[in-house]
Amino acid sequence: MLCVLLSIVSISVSATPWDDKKPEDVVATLDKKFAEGKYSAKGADTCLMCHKKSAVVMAIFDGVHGNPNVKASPMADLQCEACHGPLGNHNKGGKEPMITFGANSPVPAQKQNSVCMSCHNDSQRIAWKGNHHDNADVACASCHQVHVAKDPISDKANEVAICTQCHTQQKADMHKRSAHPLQWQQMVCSDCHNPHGSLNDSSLKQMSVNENCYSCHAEKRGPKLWEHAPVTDNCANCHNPHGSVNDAMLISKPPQLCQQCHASDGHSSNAYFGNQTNAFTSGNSCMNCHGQVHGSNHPSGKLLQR
Amino acid sequence: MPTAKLSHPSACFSLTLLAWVISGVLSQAHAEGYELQQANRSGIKTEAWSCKQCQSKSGHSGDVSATLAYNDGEDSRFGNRTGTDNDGFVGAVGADMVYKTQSGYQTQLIADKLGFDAGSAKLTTGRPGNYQINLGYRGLANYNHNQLKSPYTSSQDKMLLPDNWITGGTTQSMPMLQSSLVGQDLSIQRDRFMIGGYYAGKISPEGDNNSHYKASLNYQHEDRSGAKKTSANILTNSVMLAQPIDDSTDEIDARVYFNGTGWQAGINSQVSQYKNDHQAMQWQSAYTPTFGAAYLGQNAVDPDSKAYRVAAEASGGANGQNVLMHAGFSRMTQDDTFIPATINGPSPVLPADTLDGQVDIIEMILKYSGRITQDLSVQASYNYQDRDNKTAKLDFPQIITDSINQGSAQNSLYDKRTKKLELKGKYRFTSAAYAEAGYSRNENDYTELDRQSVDESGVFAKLSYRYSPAWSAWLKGEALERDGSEYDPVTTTQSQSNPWLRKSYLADRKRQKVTLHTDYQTDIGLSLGASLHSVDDDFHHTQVGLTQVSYLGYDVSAQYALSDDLHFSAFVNQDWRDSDQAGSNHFSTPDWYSTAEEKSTLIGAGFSYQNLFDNHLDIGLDYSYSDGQSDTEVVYGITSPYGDFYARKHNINAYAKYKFADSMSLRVDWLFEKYQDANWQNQGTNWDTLPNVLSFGDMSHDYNAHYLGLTLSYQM
Repeated sequence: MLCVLLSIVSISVSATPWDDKKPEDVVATLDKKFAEGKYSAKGADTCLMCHKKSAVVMAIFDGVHGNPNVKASPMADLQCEACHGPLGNHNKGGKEPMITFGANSPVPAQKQNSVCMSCHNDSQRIAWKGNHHDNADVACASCHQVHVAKDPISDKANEVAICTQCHTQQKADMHKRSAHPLQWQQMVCSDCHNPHGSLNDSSLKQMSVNENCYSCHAEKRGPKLWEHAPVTDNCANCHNPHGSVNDAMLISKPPQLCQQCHASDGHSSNAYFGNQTNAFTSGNSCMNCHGQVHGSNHPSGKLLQR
Repeated sequence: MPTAKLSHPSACFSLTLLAWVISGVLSQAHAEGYELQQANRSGIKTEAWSCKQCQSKSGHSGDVSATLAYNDGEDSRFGNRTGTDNDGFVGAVGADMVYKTQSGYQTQLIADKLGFDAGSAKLTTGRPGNYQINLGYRGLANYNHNQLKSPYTSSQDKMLLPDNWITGGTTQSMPMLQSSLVGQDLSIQRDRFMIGGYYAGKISPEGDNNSHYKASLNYQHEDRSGAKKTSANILTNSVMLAQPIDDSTDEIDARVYFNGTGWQAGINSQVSQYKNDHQAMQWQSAYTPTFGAAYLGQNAVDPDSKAYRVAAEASGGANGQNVLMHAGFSRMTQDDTFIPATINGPSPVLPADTLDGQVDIIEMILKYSGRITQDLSVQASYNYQDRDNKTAKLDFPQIITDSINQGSAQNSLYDKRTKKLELKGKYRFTSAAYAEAGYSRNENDYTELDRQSVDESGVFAKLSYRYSPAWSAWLKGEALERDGSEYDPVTTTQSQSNPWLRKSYLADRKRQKVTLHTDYQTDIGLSLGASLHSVDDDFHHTQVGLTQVSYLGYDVSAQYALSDDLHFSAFVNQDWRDSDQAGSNHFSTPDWYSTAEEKSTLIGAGFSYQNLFDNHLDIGLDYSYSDGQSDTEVVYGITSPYGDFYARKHNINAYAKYKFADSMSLRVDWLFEKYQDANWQNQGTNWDTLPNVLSFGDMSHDYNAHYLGLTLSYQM
């Protein structure tokens, strides 16, 4: 896993002969080359005259992107130049820039990504434009590799590590006392989020927080006869799905959690001291009696006791 | 802060504004990128593009493995780490194999820990990009506790006490309690089985080369089994139970999408059915009835339910701009037969045999993103969602805890309509610096809640700067203010709510968020990252309820590649979350206050060293320590601190993989976990510590557990 993280970093910082040029000048050159369309005489064979010594370059042929028999693959179309742009005069000394990928490429992320999105224009990426990662200038190559037999992020052991390189708060949360099982990759980030953008907040895969939760917790969907209003409103009113210092991923502990909304004329208003062992602070706290906090379908379950 | 309502007629204004923004920039937006479809192919002579040196591999590749391990399962919680709670020797198989043909056909088998509860496997076959069929299995295991005791055993829909049970007025006066205790296992196993596939092709074989379609159909069946912690009560006497879980969910997802140069459109549909094998949870009371003859209680269980959804969406654009439209409809229904209002004596007649519940949700989204100039891009989106609970409102008899008839009550039907407007702009000063700013307005209309509407407006700004190719940083600040209609406590509750209370999820709130992040990468293989984040919530109009939440956190991480083979990493995360709330013992203004101070620390370090001993040995080690604690205090005349609440964990994950033949390797994995937690809710308690709560007692964990695995791999 560590190797995967560092390989992404090392790819993004690999040196090129045009490193000493201003990024604006590099992009201007690439724009001009792309418009002129001076492609090589022999396609990939031209490129490999120099680059076949590189194991990283040759690894493209281990995966689908390098298989000319896969119809949608770049190797079945403009080969290396499908992604890296027209050769132009690059083969005359290697100083003329080509399109490169990664966080440290002089090519802006949006321009890099436009290459990938040429082919990966599907329902999973319909909301890519303007999504969180697009806005934050995250290049596809920041998370994905194509010069490999298998993209490392497709391995669930790597996915969480790659996501939490940037999403550090979530990394801290998933190590807390209660959390969805992301730490040991029983679950992965993409079980709930679409990293390529969605129509919901936080790039959730479903249309609301609750619908996202119901996709695994269908038993809580109902509709039930007696609903608990904050549960119906938003599961995140009480839970932090990434993890919490408290049990059950709760944002706070009962009885105080319940008392944030319940202060009726009776036992829910009382101050409960810490040095007392009673049914309000011990066992399941308020849920000793009101155990059906996610709603009840019992005819007499209005108080969420049945 | 602007508070213009999005509701009609001003909603029309907002939409008009959105339409104006979109139309205003249509003719000005700038093209971007190197899309394949925009490639200038006029000079290409592909006749000579034979790709003689392309070395696309065919045949088998990958590896298969078999694992034999010793797993310490004395405390099942360790199983969350290893994927199995078996105590002793366990076995699993794994695979990461692919078979390719020169024609582009590909079959892939991936299996991970297959044999453990949390194992998985997936078989995929087809031609990538053309058609594919997949079969899959995924196990998810959650182990909560296996060292608890209770006198209850489960039998189908019943939680039973021993035949010779003698009831008591309190837990201390139950003579058979100690001798009747049996082990309880709180764990949940999910077994998911998937089958699906897709077919993709050109819309017209003779026409536009860039127009395609893709149709997919996927089915998933999930079985859940195990038990969860719950409670049940008769009047003020409660018992803690390990409620059995046996249910299943079936889901179908079907979608057809069409795309071409700069556009995409499609429809998708999902059907979900939840079935619970249990119809109710009936339980014997361990207590002598306070009055009457309430020896039994019966709780409802999660009812069978169905949901379906259909949505259509389309996106399109050119010259650096894009418009996305989406419309969807969902329906959730539930018509499980009601259980009786009480099982102690005759149940009153119910107004219906089933709820016949129905909730409809309509959603519509319009989103625009565009690049106005080379340096300026804008976004605008409008999101409408309407949840309509169409269930009938009826009078249901209320036999409280199978004991007391308290008349009848009507069910509440919570509707919610959300309208959300977002406007953002991003300006790039140079290739190394940009600023982003935006405005959002989120309006929610409710029924049957203490507020009929809750609205939130917010602004944010972000500045990102790359000082050098090695060093970059960004700073983001956000301010939001939530308010709404007059707070008018509902009168349908059992007892009246304190008029000074403002429920936390409906209360006025001012929120401020700040995040600072920086990255540094050297050309000697060292990369550093650091973040600082804070969130402050001020419930400025709340006297009783949650009044303040402050969150502050930071993290620092470092990764260092000393060589291609030797890598090091380390990280530290810490955060603090403090919350204040107020209450009133006298149904008036606040007279007691509580604070909860949470602190969490995560520290980790690791290394990996590959290709030792002439490419024969890989080794690695990761260590992490996490410590989360919480201090709660209530002040009511005197200050009363609560007891211990913490969870501390040390993890070591070490491995060594030795390649002893060209295609054979042996891997040793050692996992170690030292875990300890405490919770003042049950710390030091016993089954009969509370007279009116028959609990599981102390639920803390304290263990050192090891996993030692040997994995033999064959590389094809």
